Amino acid sequence: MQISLRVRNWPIQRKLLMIILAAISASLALVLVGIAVYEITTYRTHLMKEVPDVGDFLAANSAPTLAFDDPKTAREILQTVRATPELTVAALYAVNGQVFASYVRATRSFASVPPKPGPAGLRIRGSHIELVRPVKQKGVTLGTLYLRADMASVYSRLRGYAGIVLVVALALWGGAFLLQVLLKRLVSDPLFRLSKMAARIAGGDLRVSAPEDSGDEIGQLAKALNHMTAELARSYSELQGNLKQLQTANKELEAFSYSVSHDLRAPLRHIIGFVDLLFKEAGDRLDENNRHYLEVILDSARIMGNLIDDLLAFSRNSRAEMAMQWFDFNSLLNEVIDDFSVETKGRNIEWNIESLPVIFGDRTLLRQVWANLVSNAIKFTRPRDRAIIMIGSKREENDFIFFIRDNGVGFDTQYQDKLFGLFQRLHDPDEFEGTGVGLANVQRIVRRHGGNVWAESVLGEGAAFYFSLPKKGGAQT
Amino acid sequence: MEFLKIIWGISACILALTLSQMPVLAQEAPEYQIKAAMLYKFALFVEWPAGAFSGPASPFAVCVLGTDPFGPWLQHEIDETPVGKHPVVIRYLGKAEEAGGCQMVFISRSERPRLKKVLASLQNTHALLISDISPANEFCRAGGMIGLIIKNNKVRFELNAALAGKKGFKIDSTMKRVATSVKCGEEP
Repeated sequence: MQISLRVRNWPIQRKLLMIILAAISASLALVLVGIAVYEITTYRTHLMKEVPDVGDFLAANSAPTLAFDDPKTAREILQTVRATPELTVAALYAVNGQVFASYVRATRSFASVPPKPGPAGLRIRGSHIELVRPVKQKGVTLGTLYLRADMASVYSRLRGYAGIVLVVALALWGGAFLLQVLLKRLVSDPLFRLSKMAARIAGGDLRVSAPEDSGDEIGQLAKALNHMTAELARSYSELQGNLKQLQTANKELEAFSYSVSHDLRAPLRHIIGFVDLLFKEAGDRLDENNRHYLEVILDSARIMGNLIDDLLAFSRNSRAEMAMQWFDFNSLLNEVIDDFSVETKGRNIEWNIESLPVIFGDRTLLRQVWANLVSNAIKFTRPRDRAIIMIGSKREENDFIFFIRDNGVGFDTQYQDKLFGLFQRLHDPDEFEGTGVGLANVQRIVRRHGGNVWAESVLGEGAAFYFSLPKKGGAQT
Repeated sequence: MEFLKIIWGISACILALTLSQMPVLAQEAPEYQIKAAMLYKFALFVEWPAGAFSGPASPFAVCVLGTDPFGPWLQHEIDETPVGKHPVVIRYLGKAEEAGGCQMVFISRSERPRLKKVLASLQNTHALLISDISPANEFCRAGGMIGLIIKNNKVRFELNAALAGKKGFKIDSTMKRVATSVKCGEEP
């Protein structure tokens, strides 16, 4: 497994080379085996023909030496097999079975003259061939000839072939190595440089540029990559400019809305003050209708006052410096819930609150997050005889995810994208009061902490709100 | 009994001594057994001229001229085995003139005094003329074809190849190789 993994990580050009080399080596080996089989069989057939011929010649020539008892000449005749390298032993036996004359080639093989020639015939004995034939003259047996031929020479020839194949294989491997070096220099290295460059671009570094030194596909790719980088850098700086303009415009808008809200408060205070005064001083003289008019004016002014307060808070939240610190979310949540004791008095609410972690953030701002979410949960469970509110958290790789779930009226999920918009309300103000600023505020604060907000709901059955906070404090804007 | 043993011992010693003093051959077989066997072997390597046999199955006659030196050995070595299809017969001749019909004539040493005359009268036969008369050269010069000699304690032969060829004998070339000389009688 380890080897296959290592092989899998090889560069393509090496894999290709290895496959080609394996194929070449295998075919060379096959050729060698084929040659060996062919050589051995043809050699054997050749010997099976050659040995009896030599036998005939030796028998004819040595007949008189046996007849006239001349072992010296017999030896001379047997020596002639020296010219046939595969013949290792030649021997003559007299009629009485004694060795008359013999020749044994000095080789590494352990061929020797057998004490008895054995029955006449041509035999294959393992790696050698044996011939035993009588020496006759005019039908009279004068003795016996023994010949032995070894395949040693074919093996030595095969060793030669193997050497050649080995040299060829070595040359191929050497060539392959050179080819690999060349490929690496011409293909792999430039590709690797390009891939490193692409990684740097992906990492946000747009100043890199690839060398366009070759005219091949890699050079073209480098050119395209450089073009792309330049294009990216251009649009990035364009975007940056746009962003700066947007930010300035946004800041101006915020300042404007703050000052508008602030400036609106003074006349509103006057309206409320003087309507109050009018009510107190001239209340008795007014009829029922006129008194109602004054009450409507007063209510509307108060609602307007709340709106202005919320707007001011919202713009403050957007602009205030964040005081980041580590603190316990549980105690914060308890404070928030305590603040709602008046609203919840006399209501049947079941709180299921899990233990929350210690987090890093702006305590004041996050308190507003919980206040808004808890307030919503209390508000929208009002029609329920028994309200159930669950609060908990989930630990993810980089974030904590907090949730608050209720069994209230819920909301229609098709308006989900409007949920966190400023002044967006999904419910009738007569039924559920509110300014439409709360969730926008929540979203703004969570995003300033580097987190996110989302919600789920089934209309009429309840809603769940989620927000995430980075574990190590978030990006701050 | 003791006496008999001593007699046996002494005779054995005498025998051993006598044998060691004799110019015996190193070979196990007696000299004339070997020579007898050689006569037969020559027949295996020599082709006789066309008119040498009266028929395809006519006998192959080995003749001995003069005092027979072979004793029982000639019978022993030659009997029974035919040469080709010719059954072998042995004839003992008193005179050279009786050699008609012989394929092979062995001239005994007893003929040495009359050598030239004997050989001259044998020249018109189809017989291969063999002898162990020494020197062989002299025998060959007188018209002999194969001279048996002793060399290195072994029985060897010299060939008068030129004469044998002239007479129509075909001597196997391989046999010539074994011969001590093929120019018997040509040397000075």
